[in-house]
Amino acid sequence: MKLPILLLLCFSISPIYAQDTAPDIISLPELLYLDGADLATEDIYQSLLPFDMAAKISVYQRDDSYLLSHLRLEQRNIAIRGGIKSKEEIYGNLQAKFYNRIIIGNFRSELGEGLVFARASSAPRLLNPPHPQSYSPQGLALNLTYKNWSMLVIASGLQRAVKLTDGKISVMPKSKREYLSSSKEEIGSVALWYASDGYHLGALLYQQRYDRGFAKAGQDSLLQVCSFFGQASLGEHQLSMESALQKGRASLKTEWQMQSGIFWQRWRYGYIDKYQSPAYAAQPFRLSKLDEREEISAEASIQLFPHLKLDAGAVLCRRLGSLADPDWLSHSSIRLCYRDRDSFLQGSLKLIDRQILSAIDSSYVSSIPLHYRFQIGASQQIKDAWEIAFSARYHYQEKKAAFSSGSWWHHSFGYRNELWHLKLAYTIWNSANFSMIVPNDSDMGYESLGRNAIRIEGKAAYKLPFGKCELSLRQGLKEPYASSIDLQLSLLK
Amino acid sequence: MKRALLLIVLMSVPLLAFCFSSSASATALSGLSIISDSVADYAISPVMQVSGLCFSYHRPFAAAGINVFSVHNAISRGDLHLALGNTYLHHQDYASHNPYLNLNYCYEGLSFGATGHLLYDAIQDSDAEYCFSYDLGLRYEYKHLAAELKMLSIDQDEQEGSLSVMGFLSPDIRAALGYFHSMNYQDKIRVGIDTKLNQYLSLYGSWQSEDSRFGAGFKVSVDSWSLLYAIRTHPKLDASHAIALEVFW
Repeated sequence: MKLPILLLLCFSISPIYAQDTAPDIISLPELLYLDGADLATEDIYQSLLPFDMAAKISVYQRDDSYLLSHLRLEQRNIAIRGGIKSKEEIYGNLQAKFYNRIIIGNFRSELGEGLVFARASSAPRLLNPPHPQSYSPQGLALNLTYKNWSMLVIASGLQRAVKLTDGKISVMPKSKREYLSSSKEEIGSVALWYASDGYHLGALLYQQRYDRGFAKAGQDSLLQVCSFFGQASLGEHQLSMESALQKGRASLKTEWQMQSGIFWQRWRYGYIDKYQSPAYAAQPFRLSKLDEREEISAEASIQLFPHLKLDAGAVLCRRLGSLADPDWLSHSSIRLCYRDRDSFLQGSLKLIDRQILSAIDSSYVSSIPLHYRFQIGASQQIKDAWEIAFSARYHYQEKKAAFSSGSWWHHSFGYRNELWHLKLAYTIWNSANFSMIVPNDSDMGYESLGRNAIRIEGKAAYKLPFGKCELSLRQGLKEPYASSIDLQLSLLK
Repeated sequence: MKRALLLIVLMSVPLLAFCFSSSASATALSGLSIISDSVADYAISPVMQVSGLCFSYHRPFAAAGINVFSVHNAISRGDLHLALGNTYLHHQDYASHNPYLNLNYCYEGLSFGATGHLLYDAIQDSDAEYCFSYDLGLRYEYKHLAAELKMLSIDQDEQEGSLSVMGFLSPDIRAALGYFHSMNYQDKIRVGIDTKLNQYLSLYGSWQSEDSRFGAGFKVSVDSWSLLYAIRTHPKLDASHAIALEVFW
């Protein structure tokens, strides 16, 4: 049974395809890339999941070299999972899980619609540790169940690196790094919910404390949140909501999802008043990281023919109580995808109000409103063992001169058999005035590409009796001729 | 001084045409794609009908420091052909990319296709510009005769329309004649010939009027692999050289 799983893991679909077939068609990498490392780490833990003893050791040789290791051990009712990143400093996140109920160490948690912890697609739960360099709750977590009642208790305390201005916290990064100052973070949380067939309903009390105040107005060192959450599956429909109370102000996030035959749709509405986002909460909106906004989004998907699928979506976001800002900022997207046994072809178009991006990248000027993104991806199985794939994107911003436009082109040729997977590729990008965030298969989950460059890439994966060995080489063909070598060894038992 | 001269050479040649004619096959046949079997010529013809992979290197006018690399790839599903490729011109002070995507369909000898190009050029990474261009093509084959009508770089300064015909002079010799009309440059007549000496070796020859230029090349084929070398003269500059490695499926 393990062999097919191992083969599947060893020769999984290229990350290019994964990127292109993500169900969330209205997300923007610029707003989500900070979560990329944790998502990539979760993928690693999922790949280690079928095995009682598994480790993945990766050496990333480049200008800023580092070593990354992940480990999973499971024996009876005890599971140990963790990762270490060794750079100039050593960073790590490790957890021990007992009886699938108790966690000691670093963990993440999902609950409700993401107003307090990460957004959950089902009942609240505890997750694997994040990327070794990411901060996460550290301490004790209990997930207890009695009949239809469940309880999630979290007690966490850790020291976080911060930037101080006049003795107050002005910057608190999500990832661990070397700052001169630090602050102690303490979190306590209790969630209680009732679950029955197809629904659950519950409440959460959350408290977060830092030993220093915040420089930004409205951010307090002591934060208390009370949240109510629930989810119900009603045949073809699924409803979920979370409402959080903070300093007497209520915020709300809701979702309605429906699947009927060849048609799928999802609607989301979020209203967040003055709200200090808890340390490990999900990003409040798809189009903004700030509070005092409301957002509505709609996504739909229809299987037009057995091999042809059409996805479309739109999201609107506006600031509350401001007359100066535009009423609604929008981002919409449409995608057509063809897939059969040997072929894959996909094209998508995104329209983005440029002000959404200018909040992230100040190099965008605010003269003309629209930013377009065209993406296309294709792959084809040639003969038995050979495959080709390509993916391209073009970003165009409405201006007289297209200096803020950018393009990215990736073309690969692959060979695979039962033991080997070889890939040769080249990537070209041109983006003179801004950095393009492009998802990739590194531990960060993305890379930031600017200027114009061309790079050749080679990758070899070999299946070992006890795991897998992968070697990736990248060589830039233009100055500064950047090169990188990634060596990954997976040991699975 | 030498670098300045090289840049002048680069800038004096219509950029799109420069990138288009960089394949070894186009060098040998002066761009007469109607008798080309090279995957690389999807860049200059929207109605090619071969599937494979081609790596090509071109040294224009034997100028040191200017290198043109290209990769071309084509697949087919029934009568539908999809091709993509990229040409990269590199100089210390100047670079250009010309990625393209082609789709063409053939129905009982009649083919029609379109190619989209996204041209990017940058001078020392500081001044960069994008431009789109489109090609349209129509081709008809009847027994041993064929005709090809192409419009390249539509709406660009380098826009070029051409009509070419092809016929077999003997079972192993193909010949083609083409008339090429440009909006902003002199019209040209091109003649080309492709001779298959045996299953391993083929020879190519071509001539172009205004400016008078000759092209020649040979191809060594083994099974589905082939290696093509080509040279093309220029009345004022040194000859251009190109070499391509191809595999067909």
